Amino acid sequence: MSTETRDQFYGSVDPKGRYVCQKCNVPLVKTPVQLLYLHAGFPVELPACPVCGQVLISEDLALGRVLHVEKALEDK
Amino acid sequence: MRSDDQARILELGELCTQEDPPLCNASCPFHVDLRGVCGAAAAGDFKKGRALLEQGLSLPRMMARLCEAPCRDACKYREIGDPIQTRQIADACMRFGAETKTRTFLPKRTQQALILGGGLSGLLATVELAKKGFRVHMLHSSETPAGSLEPLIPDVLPQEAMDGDLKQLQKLPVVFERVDPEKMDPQLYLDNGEYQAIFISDDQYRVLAERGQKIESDPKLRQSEIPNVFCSGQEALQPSFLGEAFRAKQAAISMDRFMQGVKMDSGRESEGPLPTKLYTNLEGIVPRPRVEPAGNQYTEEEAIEEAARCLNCQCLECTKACAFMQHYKKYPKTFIKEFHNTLNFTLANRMHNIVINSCAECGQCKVICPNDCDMKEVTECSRRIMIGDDKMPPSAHEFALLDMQFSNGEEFFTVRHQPGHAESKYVFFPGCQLAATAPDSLRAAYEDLANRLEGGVGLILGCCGAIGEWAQRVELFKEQLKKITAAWEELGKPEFITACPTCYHIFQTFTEIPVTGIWQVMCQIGLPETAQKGTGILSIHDSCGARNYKEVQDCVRELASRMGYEVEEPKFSGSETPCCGFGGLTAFANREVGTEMAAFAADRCQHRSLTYCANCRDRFAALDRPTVHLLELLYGEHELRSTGISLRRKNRISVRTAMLKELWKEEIMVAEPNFKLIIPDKVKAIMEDRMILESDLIQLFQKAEDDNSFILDVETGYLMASHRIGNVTFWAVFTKTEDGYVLENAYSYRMLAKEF
Ligand code: SF4
Ligand code: SF4
Ligand code: SF4
Ligand SMILES: [Zn+2]
Repeated sequence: MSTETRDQFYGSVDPKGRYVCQKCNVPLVKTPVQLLYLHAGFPVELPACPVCGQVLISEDLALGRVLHVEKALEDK
Repeated sequence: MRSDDQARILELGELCTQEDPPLCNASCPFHVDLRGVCGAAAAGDFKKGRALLEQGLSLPRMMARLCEAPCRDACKYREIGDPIQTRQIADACMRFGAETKTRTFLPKRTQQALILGGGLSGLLATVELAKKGFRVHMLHSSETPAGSLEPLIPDVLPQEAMDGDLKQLQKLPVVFERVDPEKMDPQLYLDNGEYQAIFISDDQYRVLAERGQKIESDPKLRQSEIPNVFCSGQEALQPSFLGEAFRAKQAAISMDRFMQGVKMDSGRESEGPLPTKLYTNLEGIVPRPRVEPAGNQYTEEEAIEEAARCLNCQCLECTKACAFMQHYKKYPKTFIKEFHNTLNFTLANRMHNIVINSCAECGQCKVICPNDCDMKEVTECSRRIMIGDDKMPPSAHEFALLDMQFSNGEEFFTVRHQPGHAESKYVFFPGCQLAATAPDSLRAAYEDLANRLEGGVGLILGCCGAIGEWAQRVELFKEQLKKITAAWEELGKPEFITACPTCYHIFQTFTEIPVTGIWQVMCQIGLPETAQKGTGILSIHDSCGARNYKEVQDCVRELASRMGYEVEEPKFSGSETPCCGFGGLTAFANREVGTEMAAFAADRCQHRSLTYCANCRDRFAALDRPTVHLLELLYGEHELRSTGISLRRKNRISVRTAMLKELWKEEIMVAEPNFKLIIPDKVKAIMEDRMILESDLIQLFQKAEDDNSFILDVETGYLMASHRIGNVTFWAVFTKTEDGYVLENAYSYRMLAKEF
């Protein structure tokens, strides 16, 4: 992976209490997460439940940077 | 194997002759780009025309006056009328075109060449060598260096033309010197050490020949037996301006190399007239007579008008019929070069992966190409290489491949004898896409066949494996064929009757299963009672599956006419039919190109199109192009709309369930979710666009209910949940109702998020 794609992706999303895990009844918090695709991994910070660990990727992120990096990796 | 595929790609690339020169250029020993010259002149751009002539000729003005113009004799136009007056057009470019200022770097060389004799060849060798940086000493015994050209001035050769050409010598190290005739003997200069190479012009050659001194020379290199002496040899005795000029050029190239001490003969194969395999279609061209100059040469307007007659000879035959090639504005030769580069070199960005995945592998170009160049095979080889190299983007074909596996999985795949029969003489194999898009046509056709054919008509529901073949997942494809073949054996090897041209093609090509089409069967047993009595015209759209099967194409036409329809043959029909964009999985890997292909195929139909492939019908309908499937004419029409991916799945499940229940009296348990999922139309459209199936979301909700993994978005009040199925993570955004969910949004991605 080029440094460019890594830098483009490297990012952090702080949910600031916007999302609440219904199972654990706690807000999702900024958590270090690894995003994996086609032998590449990106360290990022995304909202995740501090108890059960489920991670949230919003539509904006999914259709924006995530899709962009997927395409870039596929064309490597 | 990779290397075989690789070699085959290059071999196929050789078949495309679009880059061969047009006849004019090929017949010119200098390979002047006359097509380009005519194109420029036709556009009134004489400056560009002049620049092209200067690129090819060292004495362009003089040649535009003197050349015998084999380009005109060879011109393609001759097949339909007067050849293009290329020489006069060139002359006009030289007269009307402004000079293109180029700064050329002139290497300084110490070697000196001697040119013995004037005339065209003497002048040309002088110019050629001087432009290469050599010092040139030119001796002539005639009054001027023009030598034998002198009497042609000014009528045939205007003084300005010669002066214009010789202007380029102004700042070059050339000395012209008039000497006595006896000073013109090469023997005098052989050993004096001043000249590293000597050229005897044709003028002088003829003088020497008259004195009985005939010097032989190599017909290509123009080197005589004395290594530093160059001349035309005996050919100088057959006067022709073009021949003289060309031989002088050959000699000058050799002298340059000789003086520099490099190999004289390497890389010179393309000098002189060449054969060409460029094909140019003359169909539909209405010949116009050549433009006669009112005076003794063309005016600007006359030159433009004459140049406009040039056919701009090109092949591009296959590209005229293929929306994929049109999209990328390329032809097979260029595609193949790029595919080759993409597959073999590490590029910063494999931009062409998507191009390789955009060809529909439809085989149309091979049929159209005069040389059988086949992009289908190029694409197949390329995709196999990508897969082998682990470079195939997973997103390109996965959805379609999963769909194939669904069709051959437990929810759809079915093998039965006809109800009440223990044997099958026939078995109906409608194809997965008919089940997906027109389940009631499928059922009606089956019941009709079962009613009217003797000996038992079994049923196999499944996919022939074409999707695997298109994706070039070779093993997966074989598995599907094995599954179908096993089912065929299980039923006692009955004859297949398929309703899909692609299934027909796949079984014919890759299996020993005897297969016929429902079209042929109907032709034999006659139309069903439900068949329409139609009037009017239908434009027939054969499908790429039927490309090589005239018997299928004929039957469909026959059936339409028996029903009372007149059939219109659109441009590119029968074996030349364009693909609807489903073939090769184009629609999955590159939706934009897929849609352009469907539009191209549909729009060449003047009337409502008659299709007999379920995909063609569905894709035309998706673009609101009026179309009808042959089975609709036989068993009842549906409204004109496309089915959509979720309904395609549901249709397959429901037609199977209903047929098994009602015809075979078998109850199939279809697990229904214990919640109601409401999907508003706007969300349905989003899902279609993002290739998210309703069944994906049902799984998502089941899983979310199981582990209560809902998330509340406090800002919007919506709930969210996600689920990873295979290589894709799906998200749903929704509200909860008493007995289920109302979907607000859905999206997906392929990355996997893992907590550290
Ligand atoms: S038809 Fe197409 S592939 Fe064949 S020579 Fe012409 S441009 Fe090339
Ligand atoms: S029609 Fe034009 S391009 Fe074709 S051979 Fe003649 S001059 Fe050349
Ligand atoms: S889509 Fe069909 S006609 Fe076009 S290049 Fe591919 S195989 Fe040839
Ligand atoms: Zn939780």
